[in-house]
Amino acid sequence: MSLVSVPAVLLMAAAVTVLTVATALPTLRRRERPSALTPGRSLRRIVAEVMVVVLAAGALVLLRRRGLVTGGPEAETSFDPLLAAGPALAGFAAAIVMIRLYPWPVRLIAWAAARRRHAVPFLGAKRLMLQPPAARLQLLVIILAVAVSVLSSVLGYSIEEGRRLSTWHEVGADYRVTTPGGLPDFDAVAGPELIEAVALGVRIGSVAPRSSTMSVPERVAFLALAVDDFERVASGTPADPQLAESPVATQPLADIGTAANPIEVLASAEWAGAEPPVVGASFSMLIGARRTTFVVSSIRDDFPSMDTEEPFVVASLASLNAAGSGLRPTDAFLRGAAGADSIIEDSLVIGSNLISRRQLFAAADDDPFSAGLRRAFTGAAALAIGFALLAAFSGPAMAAANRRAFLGYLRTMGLSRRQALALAAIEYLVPVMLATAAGMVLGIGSAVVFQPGIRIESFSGGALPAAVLVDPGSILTLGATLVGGAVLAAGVYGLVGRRAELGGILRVGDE
Amino acid sequence: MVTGQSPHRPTSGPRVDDALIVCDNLVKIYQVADLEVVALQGLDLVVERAEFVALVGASGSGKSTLLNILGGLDKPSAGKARVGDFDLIAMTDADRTAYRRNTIGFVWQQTARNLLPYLSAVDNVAMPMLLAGSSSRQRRTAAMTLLEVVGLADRHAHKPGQLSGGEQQRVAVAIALANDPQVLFADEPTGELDTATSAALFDVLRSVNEQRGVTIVVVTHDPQVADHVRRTVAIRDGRTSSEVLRRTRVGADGAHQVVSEEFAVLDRAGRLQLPTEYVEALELDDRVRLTLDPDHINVWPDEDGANDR
Repeated sequence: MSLVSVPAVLLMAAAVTVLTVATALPTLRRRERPSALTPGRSLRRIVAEVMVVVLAAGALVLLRRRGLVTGGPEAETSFDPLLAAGPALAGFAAAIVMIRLYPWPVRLIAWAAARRRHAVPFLGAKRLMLQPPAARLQLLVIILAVAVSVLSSVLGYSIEEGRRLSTWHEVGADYRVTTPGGLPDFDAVAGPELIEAVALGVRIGSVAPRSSTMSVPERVAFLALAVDDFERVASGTPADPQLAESPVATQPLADIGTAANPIEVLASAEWAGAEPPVVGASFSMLIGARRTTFVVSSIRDDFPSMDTEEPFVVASLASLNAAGSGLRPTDAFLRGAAGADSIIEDSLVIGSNLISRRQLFAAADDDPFSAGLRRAFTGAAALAIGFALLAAFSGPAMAAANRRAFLGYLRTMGLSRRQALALAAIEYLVPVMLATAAGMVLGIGSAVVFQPGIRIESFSGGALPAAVLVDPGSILTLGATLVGGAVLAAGVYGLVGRRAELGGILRVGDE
Repeated sequence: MVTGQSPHRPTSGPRVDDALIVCDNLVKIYQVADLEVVALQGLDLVVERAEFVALVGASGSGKSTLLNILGGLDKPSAGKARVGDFDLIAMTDADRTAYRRNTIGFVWQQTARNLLPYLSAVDNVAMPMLLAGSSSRQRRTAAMTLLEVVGLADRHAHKPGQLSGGEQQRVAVAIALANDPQVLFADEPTGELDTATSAALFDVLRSVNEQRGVTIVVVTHDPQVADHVRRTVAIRDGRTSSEVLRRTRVGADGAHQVVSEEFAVLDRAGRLQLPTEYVEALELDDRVRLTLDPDHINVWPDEDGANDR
């Protein structure tokens, strides 16, 4: 199910349009400009802003409906540049709205500060409210750059985590050994420092179920698993199926596999060629030359090591053995350290196959497409941070002359050096922090809103739907970098302001 | 007639010990690229409490340099400068802030520079008090009172863009008085105003001077300002050169008359600057001959020397 519906998107677009117009109206009504420091806004600019918002809303709706890549599997796949521009348009529109909203919290700070005895927050907020258009441009650049950076970071991280999840899902553990001819005693192969836990299983690639009470597919894949052991293998990993408390694990073994006590199973949600399974429905399968009765106890979209494209059934190996199937284990799931591959491989009989989750992930991560994608995301994020830092530094530089005169005037009234530094901190830090926060919200929001169109799983290469994931570390690093840059800018410009000769700034008479 | 006057003479000039502003042999040298510009070269000045003084000088005379030093905006290169209890040479940063905050107030020439354009008149007047940490209620009450003093109480909610130049300068006077300073420095306060508005502003300044006892020092290049103040100090080449004192006296007919008298300033080293018009009238050049009579000194052109040359 998509996270945002089309009507919701349209409603949002209408809301931001109304908001843009509403916030612009007071300036349209204003007949005189009280001073050069209060920038006027032209009707042309407002119309352009509304157009961007409307276009972005349209692109957003289309993108969510059609996706970034249009054309069905039969048709020739095409790339629509208008739709591709959707995220950028939406980001630009969101940034415009945020800049329109920006004076409001600042006005609130000014209002609150005016009622107290602190001049610096009051003056800082007043200055922020009346920044010239160049400063708004600085905010716009920071918001967009941070949004691009965060979006890149979120997509990159989501793709990487999606790939990690898919390798966990594909292997089911750190290692999986499949064999047609018997498994070694892994406890004897390596100590617990290399192999921590082992779970055995019986995998039958294709079994025909039969039922008189429910619709069943022609063939299902079957896995019987040593449930308690598997819990030890998968506990705390993305592959943990949380089986310990399920009926599959806790079923009494008396008369098991008969109609009186059918073996509890997990069934895949989709049964190709049949109705989806329902909990409580029973069916039988010929397992190890013995017809055994099963009952569906729960439905799963996926299960570790099982192909989600095919119908599957998972049961307890203990139940199966108690039912007298007499099958020898074909799979072993191992929890082990990174260096255990070669030791495990040496212990295997001919025909056995070892799959390592780590190797699978490394191979997927190193392929040219993934490496290129990673470089693109990293490059975009780095470029965006560079732009944001440039904006954080250049903004104050653009207003330096005006600010020096302003500070000089205040210094004649008794503004102390400490107050001047605090004022610089407010003037430089608050906009950067607000713009950074807005950019982060915009970046994460874009990833969530555009996820249905972007389809992260198509980049992560897994069968499982990939979620939008935020890496707190990279987001915090990004925020800290920008705030650090702003602190540096505040320090530099604050010191420059301190060193300026007041007499020189304010000298009016001729010498 | 020009009469010689020394700032250190207790009987005829202001008393140094009681004075509010004392500059003694003040020197300011600016470094401009490789050149040293001597803006003040041993300037002496004494201003008493509650005086209304104008510092007049041509462009480059050093008057604005003096104002910047007195305002704590610049430091002198040598000499002594004191305003009230503050030694302007030895002040720490904290002292300087306290000095600007509580002891002095400024009015600048450019009306736009005196006010924050995004604040109303009353908020502008309250700003120095906010910087000093006064409470919201105190600020509001005091700011409204000051706006009444300058005759702009009814314009308290107007922003600078909605006020005339003269009104802006009156608000600037109110701002300068916000923290109840001892002295108000005004740098060409009427530079951007017409004659009538200038006169109105000087009326406000005079009223502030007389009713609140605030010492006012106006720096200007306009000699007409002498008509509005009691004492005009002329600055030439970085030194005080002459003073004009305006006194009111009762004439023989009983009517009050305003009399101006010009004095030349004699510094501590005995140096005296002769008025330019005197020098030109007698074509004085390089050397003059002095003769001492019991009650005055005669200055004669050095005709022998001129013939020798």
